[in-house]
Amino acid sequence: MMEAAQIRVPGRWLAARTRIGRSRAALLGGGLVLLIVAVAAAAPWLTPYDPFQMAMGHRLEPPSWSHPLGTDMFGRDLWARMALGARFSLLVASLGVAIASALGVSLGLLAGYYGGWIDAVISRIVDVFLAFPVILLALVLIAALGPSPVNVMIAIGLVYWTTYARVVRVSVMAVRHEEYVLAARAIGIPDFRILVRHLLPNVSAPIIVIGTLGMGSAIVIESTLSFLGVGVQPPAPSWGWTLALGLRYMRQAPHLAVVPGVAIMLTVFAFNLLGDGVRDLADPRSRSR
Amino acid sequence: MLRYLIRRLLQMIVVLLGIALLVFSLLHLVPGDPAAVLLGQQATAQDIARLRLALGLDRPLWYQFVEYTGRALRGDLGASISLGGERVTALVAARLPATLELAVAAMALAVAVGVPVGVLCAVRQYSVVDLVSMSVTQVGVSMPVFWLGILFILLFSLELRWFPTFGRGDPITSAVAALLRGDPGPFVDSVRHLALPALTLACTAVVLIARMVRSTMLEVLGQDYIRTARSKGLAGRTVTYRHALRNALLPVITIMGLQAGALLGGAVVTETIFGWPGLGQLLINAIGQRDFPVIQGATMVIALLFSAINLTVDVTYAWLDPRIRYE
Repeated sequence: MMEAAQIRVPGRWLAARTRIGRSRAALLGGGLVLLIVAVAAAAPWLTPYDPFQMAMGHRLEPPSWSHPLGTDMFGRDLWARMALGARFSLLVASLGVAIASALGVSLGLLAGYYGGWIDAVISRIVDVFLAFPVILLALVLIAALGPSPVNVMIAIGLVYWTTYARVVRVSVMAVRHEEYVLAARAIGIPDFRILVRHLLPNVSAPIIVIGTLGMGSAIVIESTLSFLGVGVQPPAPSWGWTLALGLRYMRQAPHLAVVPGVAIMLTVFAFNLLGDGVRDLADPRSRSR
Repeated sequence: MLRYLIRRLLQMIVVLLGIALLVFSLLHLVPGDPAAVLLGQQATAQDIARLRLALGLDRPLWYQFVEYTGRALRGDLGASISLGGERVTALVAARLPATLELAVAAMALAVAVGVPVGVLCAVRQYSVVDLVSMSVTQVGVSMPVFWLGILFILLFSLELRWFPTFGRGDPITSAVAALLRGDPGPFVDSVRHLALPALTLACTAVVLIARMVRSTMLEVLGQDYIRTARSKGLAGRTVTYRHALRNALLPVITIMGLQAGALLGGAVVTETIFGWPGLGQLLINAIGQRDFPVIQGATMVIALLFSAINLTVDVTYAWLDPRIRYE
């Protein structure tokens, strides 16, 4: 016994150190997310420039005091466009994630609770969606639906719902034979109420984790689609499309490619850090990893 | 093992039918009459009617689906609309080798870098190397493929002028053949063109493989049999590589399988940035032209490839680790 206790001491120290390190990372991620959301919300008041106002005399200017992030090929202020672009990205990504979770959680609940042929059908549909690389699926959906912000959200939803469905299905399977579920059923509570009031709260932790991490992935999808020219259409100031334009002017004005890239990277990084932190809080076992 | 294999194959057939159904529905997801959408604004009612007939759009949906699947099974994916009626199968077959070359090079690079980094980080947990590598990977995960590609072009092409920004050299197979004949020119050219796109595509996989190897190595290194091996006096290297790494590599196979899909998807983006003449570029151009037969064909082939890779991975895994079969 003594020996076991002695061995565990350094383990505890290490665990504590990692935990503090991780929560610091989560704090940093959360802080960054708040900052980005604040910039997105306050976009029009953060700069005197109109993000759509062209000024051909000031094309492709490098960062300066009057234009902190420089200007684009139409002389528009890049900071104004990036700040407004944050709105587009966050809005499209969060609504996309909302669609994905609504769809995935409902189907996951049904598959996990009822099992049998319902589970078999839903699971095969999940398999089919998983047979497509994420970007490819988003691309072909947009190709069919046509490029618009709403369709980008739908595409994000249809690409990522499978993650929620799989996780919720397994979680529900693990608890559906618990006594409180059997008791609820025995006293005649309708299935719908059992699913929403009794099972959903018990599987909500992983949903929140996937949702936070999913925000990062959704922003990548959104900006990739815009980058490829099939997402949010100009003149909307999307990060991905600005970056695609930057690629054309890379020799004269590298800032046009670098600035939106940094914006995307920081935002995704922030959500990933926050998501990792939330996961550690929700599931202490993953801490050691 | 045989029963497991049969079950997986049956499941795969269902999934393949689902893939065909999803890809087939793409054209019918388009709001409005597909024929009118394909022909654009200037089309006359007569043109539309003719195309409807040619595409078989007048038949019931289930009939169209059965016909589409039947022809796809015989290797006929229809004719391109924008590229002068060329056969989609021929178009895809012409572009596929370039995409495979890129994806295989990226995967090789990812394993060659990811595994040693992961092992090093696990063996020296919490060292400077570990902390730096893990911080870099945390940032790396947040890097969209296209942004990485642009950074690499800025640094390696425009600043250092080491690699070209655009295009592909000779196919690597013929370049190697030339090298064997004593002419290194084409080989050097191919590799220089391949370097940046492959590096770009490899980065995400490097990060995931390194993290996976690190965590499984740490787990394995904590096992009793490692302590036994150490206490019987085996050299540290022998324990690390012969005992620990072997067992830690198993999950890496899964990651590689999953990453194969991500690589095929990432290739679509990478090819666009670097002007790499593969399936991805074909697909993006087809989307721009609303050339649905090509979009369907390219998507179908990529999904098939991905499913085949996943099946191979699962079977390999089951073969390596007998516990899996009995789940």
